[in-house]
This record gives sequence, structure tokens and C-alpha cells, in this order.
Amino acid sequence: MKEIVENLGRQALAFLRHLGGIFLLFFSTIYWTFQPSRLKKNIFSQMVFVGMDSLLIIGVTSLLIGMVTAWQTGIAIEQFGAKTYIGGIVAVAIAREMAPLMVGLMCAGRVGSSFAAEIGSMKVTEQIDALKTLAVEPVQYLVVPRFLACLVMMPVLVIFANVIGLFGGWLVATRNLGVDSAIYINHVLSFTKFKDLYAGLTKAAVYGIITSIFSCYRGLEVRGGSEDISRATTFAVVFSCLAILVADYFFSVLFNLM
Amino acid sequence: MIKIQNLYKKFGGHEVLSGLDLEVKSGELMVIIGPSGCGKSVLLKHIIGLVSPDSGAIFIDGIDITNLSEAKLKKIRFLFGMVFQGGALFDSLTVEENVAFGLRLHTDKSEEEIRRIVKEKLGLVGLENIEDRRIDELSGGMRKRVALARAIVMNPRIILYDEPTTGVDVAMIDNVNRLIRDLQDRLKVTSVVVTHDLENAYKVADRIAVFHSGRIARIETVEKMREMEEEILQKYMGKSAL
Ligand SMILES: Nc1ncnc2c1ncn2[C@@H]1O[C@H](COP(=O)(O)OP(=O)(O)OP(=O)(O)O)[C@@H](O)[C@H]1O
Ligand SMILES: [Mg+2]
Repeated sequence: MKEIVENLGRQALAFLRHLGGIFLLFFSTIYWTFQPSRLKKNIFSQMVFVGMDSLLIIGVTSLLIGMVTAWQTGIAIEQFGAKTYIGGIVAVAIAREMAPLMVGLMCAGRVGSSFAAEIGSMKVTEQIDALKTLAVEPVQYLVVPRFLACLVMMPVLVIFANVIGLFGGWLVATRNLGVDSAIYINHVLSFTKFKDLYAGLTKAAVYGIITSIFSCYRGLEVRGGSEDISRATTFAVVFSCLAILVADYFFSVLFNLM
Repeated sequence: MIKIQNLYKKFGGHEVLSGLDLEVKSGELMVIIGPSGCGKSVLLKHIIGLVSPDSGAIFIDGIDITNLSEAKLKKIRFLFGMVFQGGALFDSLTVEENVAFGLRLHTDKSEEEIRRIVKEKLGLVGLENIEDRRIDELSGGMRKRVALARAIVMNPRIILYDEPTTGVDVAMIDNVNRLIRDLQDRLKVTSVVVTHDLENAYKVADRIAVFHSGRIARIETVEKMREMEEEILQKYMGKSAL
């Protein structure tokens, strides 16, 4: 019994320590974002990595999600004779919820793991120390470009996912459910409001902050050897995903109030 | 000038530095020898402020760096060049980008001039036409020499070398030793060289410090050291270590 309590206590302490560290890194990243820097090139290459290199995987997943959403809603609302509304329903579901969540989780997996592993291995091989001896702040050199890349490119990916997702929905609606193409498009345009689009983009930006800060934090925290790098990668993915889902819940509550 | 007073450092329960004192004069080349795992790398990292001690003081030109803010430390770091034991080269960059790192970020030199300086420094360590290679294409010894070039590219006044000749092929060791000695004689830098190899220590040192159980047990000139080699090896190094 005592052991269980002790163990829980230790985990709670570790959790609080990590939480503190994550907030500290977040504020320090904001600070360094606004310092003059000659590291523009790094931001660009990270943007390519987060954005361009994710296009295929995001494209395929959003196509599938658009198609699945169309099938599911199509079957459900057909009973009410409301099949023609399918375009609107698919559009709102994708723009507000599906696209940002999917981009968030995919990037947490693909980008987060790579950030943690990259920075972690730099830590192990003393490259972080080397940066300091060359009078370069590691947060400025490593975290800021990754942070900005996620902040900017994940919303861009959401826009891309919206388009592909709607196309997937259109495929199923017109080919399988017999909805007229013009009606689908018409309902997409009349149902979706700018608010829906904004909601999705805001979410994606926040998920970008979560993914970049969590994974960079854990990468910088790597101690000892390469086994800790693999722990760091796992941590980055699991906790980024968890935090994204928690944030998603709060967004739902928040947007309902608005 | 580097002056270390009564330095203590523990990792977990393991005390690595226990009241270490050391003074390196301006323009002097101090070699620190000691067996593997005794804490030589840890000591170097203290001198450049990467690790802070549990207690004690480290004065660089009269300023105690042990409780400076990160911003002030950054200024002090411009005085330093450091060669890490494992090289610590940036493996996402090319050789040229590694060596030019400080120049690009901290000076306004033109690309042309940077290229010229990089070529010159690589030449000093006996490397030619490898500017565009990636770090993972280099041998261990080449990495060490690139790291050396990177450390001296900003013309630092204090250079810290962690095992500069370990892993470097025999043909190149003398080259590296000569470079270290040359920087000393021509540019009057202050250097600390860490090694566990007495032969190379003789070749570059002004004085040699023997690291033993968390302190500097003695400091001798090269001549004195040669005379007492037997005794010192037996007493402090556990002779087999060499
Ligand atoms: N960050 C750290 N955390 C915990 N222990 C450490 C850390 N850095 C060094 N140590 C420990 O301090 C001791 C001295 O390490 P150090 O790397 O300075 O040895 P060294 O004299 O450089 O050895 P070598 O000749 O093999 O390079 C070792 O026992 C090492 O395990
Ligand atoms: Mg060492």
C-alpha cells in the first residue's frame, strides 16, 4: 500500500515538474521568437518538413475521412429524407472537428517524434553544449524554428485537409449516394460559415504549439544515452496526442458558448 | 587567466570534484592528465560554464562565472573555443557550415571571406576539399580535426581541448600537436588540454597537472615531469591506465 502511494506521489511530482518545464520552455520560446536572429533559413527548412512533407499522408487520411463521414451521415440522414444536405454536414464536421484533430494527431506522430529524437540525439552527442559554447541559445536555434513551423504550417495543412476531405465526401455523395454534384457544392457553400473555418484554424495553431513545445521540451530533457531518446520519442507522441485531445474537448465547450 | 578555487561537484552520490584548485596563467598551456572517468571532461565543462559546481569559484579574467546569468555567460563564451571529446559537430550541417557557424551568426563577414577563412582553418588541421561533406561521412579522427577548426575559427583567447589527439590517426597526431603549440606561441592564447596520454602531453605542455581523486594532486613542468614519470604514474595514474 505504502509503495503504491509513494509511487503515485513520485509520478505526480514528475508530472508537475514536466508541466513547469513545458510552460517555461513555452515562454522562453515566445521571448526568443521576438529576438533578432540570423536563423531564418532554419525556419524555412522546418516549414518544408512540417508542411510539404506531410502533404501525402494528410491528403490520404483526409480523403478517407471525408469519404467515411459522407457514408456515415448519408446513411443516417437518408431516413429523414435529408440526403441532399450531406454536403453541408460533411463540410462543417470536417472544417470544425475532423481536419484539425487529424492534422494535430498526425503531426504529433510524425513531426513530434522526429523533433524529440533529433533534439534528444543532439543532447546526447553534446551538440546542445556545443551550441552554448558558440554563444548560441539552443531555444532560439532549435525550438523557435520548429515552433513557428508548426504554428504556421499546421493551419495550412488544415486548409489542405478541408479541400481533400470535401472532395472525398463529394466522391461518395455523387457516386454512391446519388446526390447531385451541384447540390452538394451548393450546400457546402451555404452551410459553412467563416466561423467554422476559423475554429478549425485556431485549433490547428494551438495543436501546433502543443506538438512543438512538448516534443522539443522532452528532447532537451534527454539524459544519458540512446535509450532515453526512445523514451523521449514515445513521450513526445503520447503526451502531445493526449494534450491535443484535452484541448479539443475544451475547444468544443468554448465554441459552444460562443 | 583562469583561476579555480575549491571546486566541488557531485553527480547523484558520486563526488567527481572534491575541492579542486587550479590556476592557468595568461598565455600558458596547461595539460591535465588523469585516468579515464576521473572527471577531466566535467572539469572543462565547468570552466566554460556548461556545468555549474555545487560550490567553489571559477574566475575568468577576474570574473566569477559560477553564478552568472545565461546572458552574461554568453558574452564570456566569446572568449572561448572548445573542442569536445566526441567532437560535438552539428550532424545536420556540412563541414563548411560547422566551421563557419560562429562566423555566420556573430560576424558581418562576406560569404567569400567566410569561405576563405574556413578553408584556411581546415588547412591548419590538415583537411582539404571536404567542405561540402556531411559529418557522418567523416572518420572519427577527421571529425576531431573539424571540431578543432570550428573551435579556433573565431580566434578565441582561451581554448579548451578535450582529448584532442584521441582517435586521430598517428600520421596526423603530430600535426594536431603542432597546431596546438603553434596557436600558443603565435597568438598567445591560454589553453587547457585534457588527455590521458603523457607522450602527447610532453609535446605541447608548458606545465602538466595531475588529476587525482577529485583534485589536482600536483603540477609540474615538462622537464620535472619526465624525471618523475615513474613515480607519478605509479602513484596517481594506476600505471596500466597509460
Ligand atoms: N551529466 C552527468 N551526470 C551524471 N554523471 C556524470 C555526468 N557527467 C559526468 N558524470 C560522471 O562523472 C565522472 C567523470 O566523468 P568525465 O566524463 O569527466 O570523465 P573523464 O575524466 O573525462 O573520462 P574519459 O577520459 O573517459 O573521458 C564519471 O563517473 C561520469 O559518469
Ligand atoms: Mg572525458
